[in-house]
Amino acid sequence: MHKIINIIKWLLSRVAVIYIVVFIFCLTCIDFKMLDMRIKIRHLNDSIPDFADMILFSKDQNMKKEVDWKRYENYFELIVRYMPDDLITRQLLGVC
Amino acid sequence: MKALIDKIFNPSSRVEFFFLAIPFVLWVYCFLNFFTGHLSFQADAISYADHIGFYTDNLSKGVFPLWDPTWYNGAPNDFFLRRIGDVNPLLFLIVSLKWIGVSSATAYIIFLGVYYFLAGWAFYLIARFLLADRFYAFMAYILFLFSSWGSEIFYNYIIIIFVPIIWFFYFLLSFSREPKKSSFLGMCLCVGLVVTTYIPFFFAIIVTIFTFLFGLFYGREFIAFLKHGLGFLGKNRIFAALCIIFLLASCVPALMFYKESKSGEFVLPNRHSGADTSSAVAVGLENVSSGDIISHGYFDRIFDDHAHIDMGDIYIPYIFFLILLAAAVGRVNKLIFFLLFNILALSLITITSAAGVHRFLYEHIIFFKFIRNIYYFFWLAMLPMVILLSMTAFKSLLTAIDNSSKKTVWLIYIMACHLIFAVFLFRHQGVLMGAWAAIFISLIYFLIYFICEKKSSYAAGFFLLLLAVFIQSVQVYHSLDNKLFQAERDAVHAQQMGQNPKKERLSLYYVSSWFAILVNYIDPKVLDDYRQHQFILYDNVAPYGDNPEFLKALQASMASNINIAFLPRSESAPQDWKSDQEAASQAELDPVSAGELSIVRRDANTWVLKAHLPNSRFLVINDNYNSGWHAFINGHPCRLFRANVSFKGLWVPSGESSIVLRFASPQRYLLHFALTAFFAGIFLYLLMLLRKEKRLGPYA
Repeated sequence: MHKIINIIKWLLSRVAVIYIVVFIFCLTCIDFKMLDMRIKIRHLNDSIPDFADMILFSKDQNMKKEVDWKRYENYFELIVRYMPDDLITRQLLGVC
Repeated sequence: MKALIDKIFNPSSRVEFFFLAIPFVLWVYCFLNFFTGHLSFQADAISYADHIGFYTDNLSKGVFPLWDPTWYNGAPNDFFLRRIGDVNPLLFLIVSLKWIGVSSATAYIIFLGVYYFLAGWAFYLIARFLLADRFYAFMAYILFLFSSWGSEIFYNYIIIIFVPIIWFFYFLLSFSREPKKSSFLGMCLCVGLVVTTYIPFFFAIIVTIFTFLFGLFYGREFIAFLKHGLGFLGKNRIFAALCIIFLLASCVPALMFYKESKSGEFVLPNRHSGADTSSAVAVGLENVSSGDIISHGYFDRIFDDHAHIDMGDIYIPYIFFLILLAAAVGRVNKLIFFLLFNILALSLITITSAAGVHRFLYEHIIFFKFIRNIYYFFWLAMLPMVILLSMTAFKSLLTAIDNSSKKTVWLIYIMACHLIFAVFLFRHQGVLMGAWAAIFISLIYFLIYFICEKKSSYAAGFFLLLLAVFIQSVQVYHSLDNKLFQAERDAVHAQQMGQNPKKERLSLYYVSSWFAILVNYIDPKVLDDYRQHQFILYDNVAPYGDNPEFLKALQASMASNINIAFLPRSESAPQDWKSDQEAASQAELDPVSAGELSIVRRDANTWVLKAHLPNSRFLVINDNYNSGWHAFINGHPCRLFRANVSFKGLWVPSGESSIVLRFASPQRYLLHFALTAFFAGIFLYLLMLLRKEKRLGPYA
């Protein structure tokens, strides 16, 4: 017991203690749900592709042959990842 | 050679310029494409360069520009003067360089470089004060210099307020050690420079938090500081009173601007939407969230993908993280906690909606309603503080190593930290070679530290750690250059391919309220064609009321050039209106070519015209109206109207007339010139005092 107390004392006297302070600060002062949502929204906004190519392709598949599907794939993957349980999203994307 | 090295690296040496100049030259090399003009400014830095250029160009001609005729068809320039801090004596550097024949662009970039160097210098002095060692101060200086703070000066404008803020803290520390006139005057000058800008609130918040935490952590020192400070003020009453007068005078431009912002004559639609305060510069709560630290991916490339680093991305040389990791076992001290709590307090504000603090402050403290880009706290305080924290921890680590007899254990520990960091980086994508080189050089430094005698390792530390920081940074900023060059090529290509040919409505930032109405309701092409005519002479003048249909009629009138000017019914009287059935159906669009009007002189604030008209006609000058404009015909004041919703209009009598239009009163110019001279005088006096005291950076 005495040894553990000494270890804790030693730890509290080291710079590493600031990492513990930061950790406690994050747990107590930050709304992680909001933070997570804000970051997700930013990622989604950043990856919104230009849908014109996709719309053109849906109207006439011969009209626009070179569609960069990767951008759409990234975008929809994010939506499914962020809202895995949202029924409407899943239906819209044909996941279920 | 040995004697020179000994002299330079001797802790008591005064050859400090060497420590600062070499890294700065290397930093300039990293951004050489900006300095040589191959790369242009980005984002907000563009408009700041333009406004500072406009201001200094006019100042060189002896004109204090209170009106900017080039901004959205003319707008009061006070908003931009507050943004750039017009009384800043260092702006005279640009004026002087232009005076000796340096181009405007080069003069501005030199000014920016010098300004950034001043920031780095103050940071070095603060670090030297707190850490009481040149080596750690030098490390703090190079980490700051090569962090993405350096790229920020080409991207936004916070360097304008950062320099006075950081020098304020230096003078504050100096004053706390020994109350002297130079330190006190330095503080007053820095506060004066900050309050003349329209964003002094960042400074106010940083200082408030700093003072509160200083009182909390250093209670005894805080009381001693207050005692010494009051003692100094008691001894130097006249000097203190003059400084207070100076501070009060420096508040005048900001207060005048605040009053002006409530007049409704200009708007900032993007900024103001959702704000519940009548001042046009107030910011809606939703807008603040879009400017906080989590609103953009500023931290996305902190550990990876440096090959695609972009302007605004946060980059800190990896030595910083290595030091933070290794220093975890160093002894913690009060300074580390003090800096940490400052950073945490500011971070609570900068994450806005992800913590409740910002909303509370926004609702209860008036000046929070005026801060939009709240993430600037990161650049203004959090980054400098976290670098100071890491250097304090570094000092603590090396002290622990020096005091320990188990050097081998420490060596293994340091090597393990490097290995852990390397493994950590290995798991990230796109880590550049420079980063690996930096880790390797850091390892060599520590090996030398353990193997060689202290004097050699001290000298090697300066060289090796600078090399590590530089090698990584030069590669990162080279990638940034490549990205910006590619973006410029893409933009040129898009232009050549004829993309975006459609005439679109202007995006409004800061604009005259009435011109904003025209932009929003008049067809852009019609408005653009109309604005091609600098002067229009009308024979008929008709009133209009608050009728939405009127703008359609005005558009038709502008498109067909009908010979009727329109005045607001509420701002004119029947004797100001005229209907001449005999008059031509079309207005005179080019009275200058027709010989009816000539421009005698024109500057930012003044129009001097000469008219020669066969009969009395109504002249519309297509520069925006503002109530600050005054008109004189043949030396007599006359009524200036707001014509065609947004422009200047006045009745000109028949025969020869001399027309003078002037923005603002002579007293206002006198005030601005006096304040500029006052600041320049105080600055020179401060330099004189500092020279007299012959000391700039006392140790703690």
